[in-house]
Formats: sequence, C-alpha cells, structure tokens
Amino acid sequence: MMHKAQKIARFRILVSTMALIAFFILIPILGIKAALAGFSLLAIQSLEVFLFRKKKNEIGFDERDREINRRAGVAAGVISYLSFIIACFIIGVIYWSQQQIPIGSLVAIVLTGGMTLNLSHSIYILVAYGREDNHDEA
Amino acid sequence: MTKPELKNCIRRLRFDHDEMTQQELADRAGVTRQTIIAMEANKYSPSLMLAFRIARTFGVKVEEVFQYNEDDC
Repeated sequence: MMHKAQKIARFRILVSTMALIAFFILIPILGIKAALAGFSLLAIQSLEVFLFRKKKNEIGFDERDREINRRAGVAAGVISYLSFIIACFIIGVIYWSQQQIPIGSLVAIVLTGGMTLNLSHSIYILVAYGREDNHDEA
Repeated sequence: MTKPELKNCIRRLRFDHDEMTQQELADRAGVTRQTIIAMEANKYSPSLMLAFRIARTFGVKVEEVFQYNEDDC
C-alpha cells in the first residue's frame, strides 16, 4: 500500500522528467531559447491538489510524514544549493574569457536549482518511505 | 556502552486486545497505518503525545507499551 506522499513524489518525478525530455527534444527543433517552453509542462504539477485530494475521514499527514517531509526539505535544500553553486562555477568557467555571460545563463542557473530541488525532494521521500520493512497485515 | 534504544510491545498488545488490526489502531491513535507498521518494526520512535494516545487506546501505561534500553516486553 503506497502512501499518498509516495504517490505525489512519483507524480512530481514523472512531470519533471517529462519537462526535461521535452526541453532536450525541442532544442534541435526550436533552439535553446524556445526549447525552454518545454518546462511549462511543470505546470501539470499543480494538478496534484486535485489528483491527491484528502478523502473524508482519511488521515492525510501524521507526525511521521511531517518528519520525513521536513528531512526531505533539508536534503533537497542542501542539494539544490550545491547544484546552484556548481552551475554558477560552470557558467563562469565557460564565459570567463568573454568577461560577460548571456542572459539565458541566469535562466539556466535558476532552472538547475529549481529542478534539482524538486527532484531531490521527491527522490528523498521515495527512499525514506521505501526503506521500511513491510510488516503489513491483512 | 550500548546505544539507547526504544522498543515497543504494540504488536503483542494489539493481539491481546481482540486481535486489533493495524488500521484500527491507526484510526484510534490518529495516525496512518504505515506509521504503526514503522513503529512495530522499530523504525520510528513516536512523539510523547502519540505514545500517550497509543497507551490510552490499549488502556495501559506508556511504560507498558514502550521500553527504553534493553527492557523486554
């Protein structure tokens, strides 16, 4: 029996992956700037409010779920911060000789941090819930 | 020096109380069934509030449900 948090995490990973695939598919067709439109697929994530609505009398998130979510937030924050720093360094190395960076680099840095935050939070949740032994009873 | 450990007798107490299911206990304690599963597997230590709610569900003291260190159930 999968917890609602696991379902939401899987949904977010699926949507993020779709957005990334759309971006890379569109690059040779439309160029990098227009290919950024592929990330508009991330708007599908807003549907999770309707898809995973809390049922009546259902306990949505208890203290353990809040603790896992809190730890996932911390881990995701650290990972996305590191990816943000790495992205800045890479951009700096690439354009160092030109002494200026294209405006699209800023978009790339923000997207890197955002996507990393989203994915690492969801992956942490799946790992944290998946680590438990299954002592289910009927 | 052994690491302090919190153990519990939730599984035994459930069976002693008309073979209460994990879902029934979860509903009475106000948590999800997965939390009960995690506690029985010693994968999760509950908060004080939850520990008291579980003990109250069984009608016993907290110490009879949860044991600190090497005490047995």
